[in-house]
Amino acid sequence: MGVKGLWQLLEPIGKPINLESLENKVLAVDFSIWLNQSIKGIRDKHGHPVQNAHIKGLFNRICKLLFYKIKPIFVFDGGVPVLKKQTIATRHKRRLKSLEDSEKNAHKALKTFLRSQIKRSLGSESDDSNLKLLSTYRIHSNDNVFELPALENENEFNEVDDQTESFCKQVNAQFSHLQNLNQVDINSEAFKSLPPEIRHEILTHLKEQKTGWAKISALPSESNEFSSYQMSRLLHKRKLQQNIEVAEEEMNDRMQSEELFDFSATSGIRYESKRVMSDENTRIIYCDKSQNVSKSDSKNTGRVEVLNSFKKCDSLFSDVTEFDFGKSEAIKNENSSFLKTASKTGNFSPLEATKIIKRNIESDKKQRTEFEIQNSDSYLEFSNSMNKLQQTSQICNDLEANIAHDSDFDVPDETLSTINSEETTEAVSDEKVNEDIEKELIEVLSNDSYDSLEIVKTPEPKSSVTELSEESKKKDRKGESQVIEEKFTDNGDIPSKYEAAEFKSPIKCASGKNHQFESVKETPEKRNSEVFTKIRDAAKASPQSVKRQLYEIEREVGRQERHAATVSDQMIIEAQELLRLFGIPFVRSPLEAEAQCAALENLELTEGTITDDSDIWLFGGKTVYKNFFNQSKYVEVYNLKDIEKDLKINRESMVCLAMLTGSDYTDGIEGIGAVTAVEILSEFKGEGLEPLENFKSWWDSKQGKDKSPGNKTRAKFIKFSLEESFPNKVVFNAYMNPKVDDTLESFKWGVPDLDLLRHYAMSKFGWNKSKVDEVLLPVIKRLNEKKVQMRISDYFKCEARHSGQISTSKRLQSAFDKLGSESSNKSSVPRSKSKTLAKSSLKQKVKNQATRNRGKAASKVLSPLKKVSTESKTKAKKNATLSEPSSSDGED
Amino acid sequence: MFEAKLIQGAILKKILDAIKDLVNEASWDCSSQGMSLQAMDTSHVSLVAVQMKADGFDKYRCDRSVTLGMNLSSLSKILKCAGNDDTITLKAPDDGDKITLVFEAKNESETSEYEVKLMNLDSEYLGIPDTPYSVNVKMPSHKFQRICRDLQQIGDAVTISCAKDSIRFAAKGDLGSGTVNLCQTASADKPEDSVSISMQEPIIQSFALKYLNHFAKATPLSPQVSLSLSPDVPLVVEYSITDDDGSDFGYIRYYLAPKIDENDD
Repeated sequence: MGVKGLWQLLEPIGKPINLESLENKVLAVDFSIWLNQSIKGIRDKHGHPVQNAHIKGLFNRICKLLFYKIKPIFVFDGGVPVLKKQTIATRHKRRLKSLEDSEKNAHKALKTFLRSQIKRSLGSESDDSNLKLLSTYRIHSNDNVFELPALENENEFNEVDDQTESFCKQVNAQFSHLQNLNQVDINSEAFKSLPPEIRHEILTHLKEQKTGWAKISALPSESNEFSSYQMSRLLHKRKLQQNIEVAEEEMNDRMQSEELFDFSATSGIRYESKRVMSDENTRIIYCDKSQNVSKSDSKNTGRVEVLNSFKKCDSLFSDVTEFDFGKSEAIKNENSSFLKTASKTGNFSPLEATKIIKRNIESDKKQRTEFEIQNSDSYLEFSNSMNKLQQTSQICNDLEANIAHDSDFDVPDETLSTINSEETTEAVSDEKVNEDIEKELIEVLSNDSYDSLEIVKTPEPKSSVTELSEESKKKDRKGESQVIEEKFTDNGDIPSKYEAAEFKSPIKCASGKNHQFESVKETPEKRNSEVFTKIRDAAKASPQSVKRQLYEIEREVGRQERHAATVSDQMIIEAQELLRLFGIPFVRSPLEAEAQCAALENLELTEGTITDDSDIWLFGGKTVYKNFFNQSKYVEVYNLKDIEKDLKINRESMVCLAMLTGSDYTDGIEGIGAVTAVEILSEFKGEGLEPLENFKSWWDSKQGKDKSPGNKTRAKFIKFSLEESFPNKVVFNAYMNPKVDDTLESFKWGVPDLDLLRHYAMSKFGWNKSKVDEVLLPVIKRLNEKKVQMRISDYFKCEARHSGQISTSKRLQSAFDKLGSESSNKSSVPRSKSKTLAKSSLKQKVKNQATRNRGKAASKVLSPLKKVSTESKTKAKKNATLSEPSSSDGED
Repeated sequence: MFEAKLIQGAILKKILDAIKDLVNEASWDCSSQGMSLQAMDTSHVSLVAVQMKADGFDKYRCDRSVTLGMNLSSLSKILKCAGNDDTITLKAPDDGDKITLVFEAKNESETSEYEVKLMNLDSEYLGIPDTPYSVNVKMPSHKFQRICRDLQQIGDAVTISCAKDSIRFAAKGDLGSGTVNLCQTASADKPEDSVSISMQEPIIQSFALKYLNHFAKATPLSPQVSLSLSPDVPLVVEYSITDDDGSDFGYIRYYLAPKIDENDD
């Protein structure tokens, strides 16, 4: 939004003002981002979005404006200019790409991590120097020696024959951890996914190690830095301690989990649990609570119910997996001679769980959908509650994982057989196993992300789903889920198509609900990793921490719900209705609201604009009030006159600046920020678009063999890559001549209709009368005051003005100085200014052969390394130096 | 180099108390004539002008005119460290970024020294036209203070009307209304308790009481306050500053823009 870095440049110009001094001023209010702000910004104490947030936000802001007796004119956005659409589209593309890249990198990182772990576990045997520590370590980890992380269980398989050797290897493997402990990132996902015992081990060692000699080498050489070093060490220690505590807690909880499971089973929810015939360590629990999902009648209560059942199921889920863990542990204790099996199950169960989850999410989803359709009367209701479901994807995931267990009930044979087959294949050869498990983990990771994507996307192929489920109702359960499963995989492509279609569709939907998908869809990539850890955590977390987690999840859901909300036309209509009740005039701009605000000021219909969008300057705004509705900051007033006077930049240069740094209409040039942009403008002067044209021609000339920049400031400009079409005149004109409504009709303000407003607030926001009056009466009272407070400046004229110094960085200051010197350098060359300034002004003064020679000489001096005296080179050089004076031709 | 010594340091303390709530940051203009300050409050409704004549100081040296921009509440805090009987000396070297305050206790050998950071402030100097006012009222300053304080309980604005030889302060609010009438008195033996009204034409004007109450903080500086009113011109509230021995030291003047009826503009 706005021009990148422009506010940062203008900051010294802003003057904090007292809102009282705005009394009776006619100000345009840029409404374009209000709706978004209110929808996403306003939340209840649980973080959920508030109903009618958009009008509520507007209501409060109008009250604020009216209380200060400001006469506002609201300006709404019209259409979106083509240029803006293009920029948004390219930005979106770029973002998707970078997301993809980051995901890839994450996978790569995980892969390498796993590989290194495996290698280390195999190869550290020969390390003799470890022996001493090894023995101590053995004492320490007596109980946990059989418990291996999932990553290392492959060791087991290859050493079936020789148990003692394998034992040694395990210890070694774990020890190899210790060796490289300092490299272990305790915050990394991979670390967190290790079993708590291992984590505990590593952390305690890390903690103890820190007190040794190692820290002497880490001491900072600067004595001044010592305190910060101490501080960071302290923080680090604390972090370690915290992690240790968490690990300990988890270890404790595991032991208790079995009893806790029994306890939770008596808490009133109907469960059915069965043992899987082929696997004595896995149990399946069926939770009846999910039936509630289908009984939702109205969308609101339905949502609450669904959420509730989610929560319950969520906690149940963690119980279930807890149970798994507990079971395996118990068995392990009983039967330590069955080292192999025990450790296998111990480590395998989380993996297994996730696998089952992944396999069954699809079928489960269908079942749920079916419930919905059977019981809800209208399609809309169904889709609404479905939407809600999708938004709670975090919880969904957990729930689905849970229900996956339920539905495991229906299709156990298949799953188990696959698991079994996988197990057997895993046991075949250790090399292969290594790879397999590695793949598996990555698969789980990627599938997880895919799942969350799917979850988000499911609503789109609704029709097919409905058909499907209706048709499959007749069939028996098992067959049904299988059919759906198949169908669903086919559906895999459909969502993506839908996605594309959705994106293009205009925001016309009456309920606006559909659009939630759009934004939801955009976020899942980010959430993947979160989802993954959440599932892991849920599997490991103890019932004690479930409550806390639930709270966190609820917050998270609220946040996402808010993010998912988007502006619809309906909201704009509602906002306008409210403005009518307040008697406030409003304008709908043909295109951009900011452009219209600027136009109104230029037509002298307003005395300024309230906006936080820096685009206003490019459209010709003169007086801008910033941070008006930001409670944490002072309201600041910015004047174009001050900007021109103190910063020496005008509207045209700001447009040029936008084209360099990037704005709504253009992506800008990569690597150019506000400061560099000002430097470029100060180096290449001119009217209108000329600076950029000059910059481009100079840059073109420097792309040949001649790389000598001419001066120090210009040196860094060469490395930027300019497009052929730069500078784009279309963008420049779009800013300079925006499409606006320029009727001169003056505005009228009505009196707020108190009765209607009261009624409105009570019905829309659910406020009671006293609350409404609390807000409205002071405003009405203020408005009824017939007296107007005059200002001193209305009577006394300013005689002398002393402006304080503007504090900016050195680079900026010299650039501004140079911009300002444009007019003065004709008379005299300031000597005190920086070298570059003197050089450039000299260049302007004597732009003839002499400069050319000088430039040549300078370039020779600057590039002694490139003394290749081929003919083509000197030619290029000549061209380059010729273009320089031509670039400064336009300045005078 | 700028240096000014004031044996009656309390005066400076009182001046600061009288302006620090109205203006947070302001610049002192120091010239060979004396020290002066002009500043508007943040909402630009009122203006305060302070003048301290060079003669009033016990020692005054100003080689060239300097502008000392500073945070007035900081200055006031530091002045709180000075006793009422202390001699205060202000010192500012040319091109310095600090002003030094030296407090010397009376008849004692104790001196304390404080420094205040100076600021480069963005300021406007307003030209105030020298106009004759329709009404000039002189009244005891504590009376003015009390009237402003009392009426603020009633409403936000006071309507000052003047006809013949009486001045009337009236306020209206939710709880009711209140008026205070003052008639011209001629008590020759107690000049500071007298009320004198000189009027060219009758006047009625409204002002925000909030600001008048800020002005009344200058009450300790002078026993008498003078109000000057004219239609369509800000009200002037002036406190003249005098030494203990009665000689003229300067003044503190407040200007307040009136509240006018909406239809008027």
